Amino acid sequence: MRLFSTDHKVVARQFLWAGFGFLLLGGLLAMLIRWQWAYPGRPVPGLGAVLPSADGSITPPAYMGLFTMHGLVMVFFAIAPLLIGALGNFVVPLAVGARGMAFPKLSALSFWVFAVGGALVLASFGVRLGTASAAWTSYPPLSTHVFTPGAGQTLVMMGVLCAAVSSFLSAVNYVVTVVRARAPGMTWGRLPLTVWGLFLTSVLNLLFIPVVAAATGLLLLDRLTGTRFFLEGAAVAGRGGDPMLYQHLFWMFGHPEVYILILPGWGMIGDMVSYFSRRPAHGYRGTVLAMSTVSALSGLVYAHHLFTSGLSPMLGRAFSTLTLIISLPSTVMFLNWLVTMWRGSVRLTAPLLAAVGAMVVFGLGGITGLALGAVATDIPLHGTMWVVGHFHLTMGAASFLAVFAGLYFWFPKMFGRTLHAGLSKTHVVLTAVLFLAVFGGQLLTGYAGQLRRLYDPYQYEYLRHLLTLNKGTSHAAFTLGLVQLLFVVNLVWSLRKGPAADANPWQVGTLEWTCAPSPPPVDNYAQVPVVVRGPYALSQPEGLEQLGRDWIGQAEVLPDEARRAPEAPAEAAPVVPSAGGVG
Amino acid sequence: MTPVDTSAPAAREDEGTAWFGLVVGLSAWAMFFAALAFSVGYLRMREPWPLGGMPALPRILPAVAVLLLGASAVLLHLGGRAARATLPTVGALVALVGSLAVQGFVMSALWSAGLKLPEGGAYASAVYGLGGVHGAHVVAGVLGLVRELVRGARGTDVRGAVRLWTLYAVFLAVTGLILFAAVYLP
Repeated sequence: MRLFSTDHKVVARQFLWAGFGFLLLGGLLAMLIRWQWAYPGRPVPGLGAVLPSADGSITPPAYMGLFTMHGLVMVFFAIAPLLIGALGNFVVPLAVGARGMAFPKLSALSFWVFAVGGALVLASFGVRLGTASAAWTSYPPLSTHVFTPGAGQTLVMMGVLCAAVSSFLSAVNYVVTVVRARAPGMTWGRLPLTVWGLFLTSVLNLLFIPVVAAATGLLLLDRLTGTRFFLEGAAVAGRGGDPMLYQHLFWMFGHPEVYILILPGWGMIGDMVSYFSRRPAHGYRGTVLAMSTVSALSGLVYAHHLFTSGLSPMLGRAFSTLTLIISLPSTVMFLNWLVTMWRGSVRLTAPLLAAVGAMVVFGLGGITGLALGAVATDIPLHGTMWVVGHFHLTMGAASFLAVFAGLYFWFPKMFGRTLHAGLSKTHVVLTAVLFLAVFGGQLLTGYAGQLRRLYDPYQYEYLRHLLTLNKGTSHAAFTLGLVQLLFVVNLVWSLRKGPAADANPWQVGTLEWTCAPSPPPVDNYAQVPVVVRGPYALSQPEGLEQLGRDWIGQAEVLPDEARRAPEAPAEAAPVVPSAGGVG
Repeated sequence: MTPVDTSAPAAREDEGTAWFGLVVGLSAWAMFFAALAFSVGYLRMREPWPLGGMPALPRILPAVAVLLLGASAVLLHLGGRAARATLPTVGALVALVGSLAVQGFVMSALWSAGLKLPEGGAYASAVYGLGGVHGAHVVAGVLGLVRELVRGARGTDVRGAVRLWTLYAVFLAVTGLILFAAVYLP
């Protein structure tokens, strides 16, 4: 793997390993937070070496840093690089039939800008006064030099800016690749849903990443150059700006970010339920339209995060209505997925189990979000663990299960080796169940009134009875962490000793599986495929009759079709032979 | 299923793709300046602009700075279509540097007149912060044009690149206009 390669597959693997590294870091930080809520003030086993002055227990300032960096690392440095950076870079050119990204150098640049950002974030842990500690939202005035004076917060904000620029560069590349570099015959209606998801995510990234870049840039100016965009009141001498301005800018990006992180997952769910139910995706156009509608609406609802910030009640009603309307297209998508599976020849592979898990957790996350979209119910629940449970289900659990669905599905193509099917399925099922246990526990404590971000919730009399529930939730979280070892073992073992992967182990018809070996060569395809059908030609009578199998390649011309149009060129790339069959 | 040779899709880095990519990228990055303009609008709604006791902002010179950006875009447009792109590109470069100089002069004059940071609060922050951010984008344009002129002097045909830089110059002019309206107009 060349370090500065411009091959999209290499860049994808770079994002993958970097994303896993940050996932490990973010996960460990989460475990520490859960320890504090289960055993407040008690020394963490093994942490004495890192925090000798506190004898291994988590101090309030350390705790602030923990939950701040957990959120920032997970959102900007784990989910986004894994779902969009790794899977996006790998899948988009292959699935549209391109020889590579439209701008290969931009692809490499996006990773290296991301890597610089990651390095800044890691460096922030080593500076005096510690890392950032103003929560993942970095609201001023907490995030200004007045309240977090050390260099840690500055380094992290610069790291976030780098991650934002990296996402922006990737988004330009994905959009241009899909629009300009599709193979002949690959119409918009023949794109796999995963590509649609990544395309729409990129459009949202293009529109809203610049907004968070502006917010972060202004915050950095406030911290470093003496401007006063967000500081006011007693915190400044003379006239100041307005911290509320940051909240507007942040949530203009922050709410679409939820969809930025789940749209690729929705696309993957749509693909997986079709492939592994051996049926065409039901209501393909409806699903695409629903995903597009959600994308459009996601930019219009941000102010429901500000219901308790002094927003005008009249605006509250409008934003509440727009927010609740999102549930309509989401329902269309869900129904289409369910109908696709209904009476299908369902194969419970690891990718499908992960996709179904993502459906379930996102469904629960979506339903619990309705309470936060309506003003009347948001006001009592705002700032409680209910919010934490809700967005962990939607942005965390659903996105990570989608990552696993995608990774289990494309792993053979990516590395040319096969994962252990049993370990994969066990990992996915246990992960999904434990996600529900952990984030369900958060919902329950939130409903009982526990505020988020409390160092020791049990200082409050009315929260003391929640210790048992929090302990149970924490133990589920620790188990969830341990279960990930199954994935690590499977990954390491398969990369070293896993059986060589077949060209098309899942027996599906999309270009990457039917026209390229596993792993694909540098230019992806020996010859550019000419697409003649959609991605879901599964269980078609003509395929069964003429080919003796239940799938037809997107660039595969059936003998009958070739005979019926003899003068038309048989424009098709050869289908790579496949023995098929991976559990 | 006979494999036949098919022409590859549009060359990955052909000019059309580069042009489209630049249009997409710059249009999207304009959101950055839209967010900055929104920020100034938000802050301006809270209090009088200019604040009492603070120097009023000039209009003519900042407008000249924007006009120079527009002039650089026009010159680059002509350069991209001329037989030799050197002279128009030099003209565009001079216009960009001139715009920076005018903007720098405006800021320096305002600072001398007492509009200072951090005392000037949001008002001064908008002038210097947004001016600085936009100026950094102009500097990127200056560096890009210098690079093209060096390549041109070495014998490379840079007209294609100049056509792409025209887009960037248009972007600078449009975003300059947005910030001028947001910060300097009453």
